[in-house]
Amino acid sequence: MAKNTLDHKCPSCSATLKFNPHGQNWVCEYCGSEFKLEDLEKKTEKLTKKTEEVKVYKDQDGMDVYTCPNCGAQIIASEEESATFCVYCRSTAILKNKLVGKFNPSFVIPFKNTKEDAIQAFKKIGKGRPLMPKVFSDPKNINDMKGVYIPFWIYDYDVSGSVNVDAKRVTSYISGGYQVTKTDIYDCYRAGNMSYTKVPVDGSTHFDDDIMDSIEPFDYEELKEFSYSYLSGFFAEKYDVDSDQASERAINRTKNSTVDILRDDVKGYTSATVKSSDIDCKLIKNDYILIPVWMLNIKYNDKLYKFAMNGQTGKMVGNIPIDKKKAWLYFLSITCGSFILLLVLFLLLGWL
Amino acid sequence: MKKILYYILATLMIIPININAYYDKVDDTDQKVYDYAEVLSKNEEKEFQEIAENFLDKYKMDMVIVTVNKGYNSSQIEAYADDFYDYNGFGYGKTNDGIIIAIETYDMENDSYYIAVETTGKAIKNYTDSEIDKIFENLKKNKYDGVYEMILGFTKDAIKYRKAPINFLAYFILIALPFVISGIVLGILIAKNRMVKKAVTASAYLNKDDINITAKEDRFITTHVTRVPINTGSSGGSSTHRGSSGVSHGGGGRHV
Repeated sequence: MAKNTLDHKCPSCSATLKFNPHGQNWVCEYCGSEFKLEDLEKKTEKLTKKTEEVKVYKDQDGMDVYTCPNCGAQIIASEEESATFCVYCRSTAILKNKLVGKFNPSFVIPFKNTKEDAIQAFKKIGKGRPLMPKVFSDPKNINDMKGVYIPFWIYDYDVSGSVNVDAKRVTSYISGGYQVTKTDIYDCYRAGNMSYTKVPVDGSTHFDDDIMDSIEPFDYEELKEFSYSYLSGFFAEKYDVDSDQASERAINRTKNSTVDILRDDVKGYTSATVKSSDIDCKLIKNDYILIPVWMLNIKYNDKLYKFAMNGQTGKMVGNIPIDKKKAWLYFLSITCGSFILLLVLFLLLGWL
Repeated sequence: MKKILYYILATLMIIPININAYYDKVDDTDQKVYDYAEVLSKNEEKEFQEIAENFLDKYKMDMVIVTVNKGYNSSQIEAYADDFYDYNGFGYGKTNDGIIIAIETYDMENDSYYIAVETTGKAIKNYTDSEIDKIFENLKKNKYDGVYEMILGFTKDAIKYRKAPINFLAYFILIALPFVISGIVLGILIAKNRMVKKAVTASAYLNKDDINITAKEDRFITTHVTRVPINTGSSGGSSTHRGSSGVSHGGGGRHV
């Protein structure tokens, strides 16, 4: 089974073109030419003809193997990788055949920040986080930052539903030497409808759902019609969680928000607890899109810690482990310090 | 007839003896030493005045010294001391904190004195019954040579036996609060290192202009009422009595 790889050759000098997140255009690193998406698309036909067709086949272990069009090296790509790099000459390779048919994304949010931006952002992660172990600020570890287009499903829902809320109103007053507490209990019912647009769900099992949740939100205003050209210079994955499977999470989130909205409409009580709810989510539209993420893995105490930066907004997330030595040092010094301060204060006030 | 007499007697008995208590009125409560019995020299009075002023400065409570020659017994000198202190307005702060010593000297020739040591306000807790006993014991045992030495001994004992009430709450706060503070600070710092949170809602993707609440119904079910009696505070380890002015005092009057 023959497969094609495609990389973008500079129409002027035939060197590899990479997407430039800052200019949202394509820059040739050799001759300095810059191209817009329209320019590239016009030349794509010519380009494709020029590009040699390279055999991509499965080896005996079932791995995808392709030949780098630039240096001729045999490169192994994982099943889900749809854009990658030649490990020898760093040429970009977009494995176009992996993004066809049902794997063809409708939209893409192009990277807006560069690897350098991501590295700088990560360097600032230690600010205000004194319990971070030293290895997390080691430049050697940070330079492994990888730009990946991650497959996401987005869903539009029309939602209608109702909730039963147990509401309490507590009033308290003093009467005849007694503290009297009066609790009025109400049973409240609310029904309504609302709509949600582009609720995102991570479509790849390679990336932790909670990390992908944490880099939200995305600015969907910058959603572009998908073009392979955006992948140039980055890694890309194709989904391995299908739309139906992924929609469970979107529906749960949508239901929870709807319940919250309806419960919040129960006003004027001390507390309002949802007893039961009946929410119906009607799928209006779903799309397969690619989201830009800078990924970084750092090893600490034999455990891998994953970090991700939203390639559009620059939001950096990840759980940093606690340096236990530093934590104890902080605990002891704050305890001793505040003890001495309190002692002085209390002695001055004459409380001791 | 006998019954009527009994009632009259009973009525007389519940009227305090010192209802028309005689006390010596003073103009300036800054003066702490009143030697009505004239048993102290001018220099001795001055010395005690200074001691009382220092005592007030340091312990935030008054020290009043009175000598009389009126032929009072123990309970009379006690009532006199209370009234002298209360009606003249001695004492520090809102609760009129202070200690007064009043010495009846009419029988001093026989080395016999009637003395009252009375405490007011916060001083009541500073000198519990056992401290008052110790002060009296020294006045008795030491066989002070004359009133001057007696008062001097008293001023020293007033400092020595002054029991600063242990502020357990302050000690508790002093020990516990630093741990609470560092616990909170550490908690915040640890929380800062956790940036990953699973999303459970989709509120960011809700079309806020497109929310229609179609049905609202609030149905009253029932009312619960709880009543808790309000606690009043309880007092500590000094026995007190009230003077004619109605002010509480600790201490007492004794024959020494």
